[in-house]
Amino acid sequence: MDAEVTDTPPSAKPDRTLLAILVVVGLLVVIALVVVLVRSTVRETLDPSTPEGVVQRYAQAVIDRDDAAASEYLTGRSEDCDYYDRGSTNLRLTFESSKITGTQAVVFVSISSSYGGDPFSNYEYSYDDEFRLVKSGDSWLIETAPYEFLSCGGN
Amino acid sequence: MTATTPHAQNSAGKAVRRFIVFVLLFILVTVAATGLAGLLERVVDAGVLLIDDDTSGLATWLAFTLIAGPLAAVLWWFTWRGLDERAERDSVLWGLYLAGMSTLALILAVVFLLSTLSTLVSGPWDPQAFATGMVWAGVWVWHQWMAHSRTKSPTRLVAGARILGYAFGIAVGTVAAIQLISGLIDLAIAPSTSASSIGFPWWTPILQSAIWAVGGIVVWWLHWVLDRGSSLRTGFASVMLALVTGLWAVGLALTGIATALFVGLRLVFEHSDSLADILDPLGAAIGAASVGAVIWSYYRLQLRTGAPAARLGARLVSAGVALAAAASGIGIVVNSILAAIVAPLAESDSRSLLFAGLSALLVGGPAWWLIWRPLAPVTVDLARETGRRVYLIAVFGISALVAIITLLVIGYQVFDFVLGGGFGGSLLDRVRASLGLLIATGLVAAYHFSVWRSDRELLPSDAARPQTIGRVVLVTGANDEAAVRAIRDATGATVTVWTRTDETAAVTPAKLAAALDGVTGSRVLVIANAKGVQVIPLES
Repeated sequence: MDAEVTDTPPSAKPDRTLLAILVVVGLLVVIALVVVLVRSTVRETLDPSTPEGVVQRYAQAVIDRDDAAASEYLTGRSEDCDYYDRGSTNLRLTFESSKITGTQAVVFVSISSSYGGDPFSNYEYSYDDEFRLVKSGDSWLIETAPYEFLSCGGN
Repeated sequence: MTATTPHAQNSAGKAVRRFIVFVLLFILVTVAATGLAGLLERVVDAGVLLIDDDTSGLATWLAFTLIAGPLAAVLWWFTWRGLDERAERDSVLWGLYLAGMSTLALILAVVFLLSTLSTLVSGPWDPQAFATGMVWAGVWVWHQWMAHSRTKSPTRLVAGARILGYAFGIAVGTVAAIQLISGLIDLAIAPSTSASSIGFPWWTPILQSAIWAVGGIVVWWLHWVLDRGSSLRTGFASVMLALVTGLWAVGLALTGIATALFVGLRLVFEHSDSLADILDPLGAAIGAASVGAVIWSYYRLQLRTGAPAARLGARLVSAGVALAAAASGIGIVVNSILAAIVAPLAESDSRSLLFAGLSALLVGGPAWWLIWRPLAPVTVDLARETGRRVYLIAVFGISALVAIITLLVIGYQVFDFVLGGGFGGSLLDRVRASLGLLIATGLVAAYHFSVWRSDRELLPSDAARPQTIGRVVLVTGANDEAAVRAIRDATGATVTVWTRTDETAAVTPAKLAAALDGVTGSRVLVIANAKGVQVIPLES
């Protein structure tokens, strides 16, 4: 009985499934390489005269640790500088919506923060927060920011 | 035979008595050791005592020592004397007590004695840790003496304490060795940012890790080499061997290599973070990779001469670990694609996520390929291995669990989005991590489903096989898998093996099948010895 069964050739099904999966994984890697590398060179910049445009420039300056550039978008009345050392934490700021009432504006954002120490504990957590801005002349200035985006350049 | 015999009542009573005695002994020994440690601390604490009004502390230690100590001694004395009787010695509870207390004493002694030594390096002398460690070391030596007694040592669960002991040694030694290597590399890369520069000389944490590492190695050596843990062939020994080699060693090595690759990729392509931040995990990564590789290469040689079940187990567990690494890599790669599609306002570096996924995939994928060997032909014997079937079912189980959790998270985010919670924004951005994991899990499950189905096609199906006997009790000299399989194939019966102690001869599968040919019934007793096979049909 055993000899009979052993003689039948091993099924080719796992090989076909494996091939399909390898193709899918390969495609995913290629797409990821193309999309991520292209995207990191092309970025949409918003109008600097809108509150979200100001938040975008300010946040990028904070992420790039350019305190001098960041301070240009702050009102003088920004809160006490409580420097936040984010080490190798990756920050990602996504725009959700904004609300303008007279000379005041609130920009609602989603912040994702992940510690990029090693590939397996790349836990990311996201939460919603807001930037509050006031109008000064023609431009908007940031009055309060989420704590990850505090800059010490303004004070 | 439904009426309870006096013998059964007697043995049930004895089992309850043993259970109570050993639980009491465990508690009394623990309490007495705690009290003794408290008293010893006061003796060895050479510091000048300015005010001593801690009478309640002293009273507690005195009560623990003077009440629990003599009681423990008396109870132990009676138990020890009773162990002359063979039935007492054969009790599983005696083995369980000895394994439990030995392991507890070993862990407490090692942890407290090593922490005494390592705190000595950075300054203060810790009499409390020293006293606790010394007392538990005494308890450990005492129990070792009992475990090695020629006439009274347990006959069951004899291997438990040794197996747990060597595994504990490996765990302590590994963690400390990784810290040691990591500390040395951090010193070499960035001496100014390492933790040692604050307050202590640079060699303090290095020496402390070295003390723990040596301690762990000694514990391992005591149990694995001196106490001959390496010669154990029990089921638990095989499971631990598979876990140490497959999960611990391979897991550490793969994590370390993937992290080192991740650091390398960031070093070359990313310039947004400072060099020190990028290099930060490198020391621990190299430590984990090298320590994991050392343990793996040693145990791989041990497995070659070990039980076949342990060898297959280690291979399957390491395949699972590599698979998990590769799958999480695929998940992160998908996550990085979705993250790139949603344009954020600002971000640190979009490439970190991609690099994380690629490193996990590039390390886990090839490792899985080499260990699992997907292209190697599957033989009937391999498809029949219980270990392989358990592995496939475990992969399905874990895949299902991951799928359920990610679906719940995605479902929550979709409903939250539709119902207008939060501030709007992008749904894709919220679900990308879960979606990545779900896709990776789907791929894993699809592959293993096809393997499982083709394994089933290889095996003669249960439905096609006529079931002529319900249950077979096989009494034989050697408990071998081939005999069980032969009976199962010939009759479709569930097989129970009773191994006889008067004979070690195994019976050939062909003889068994021939003897059972034409026999039907719900229960059949099969007695096999060197002369032949005796088949006795029983009343159901």
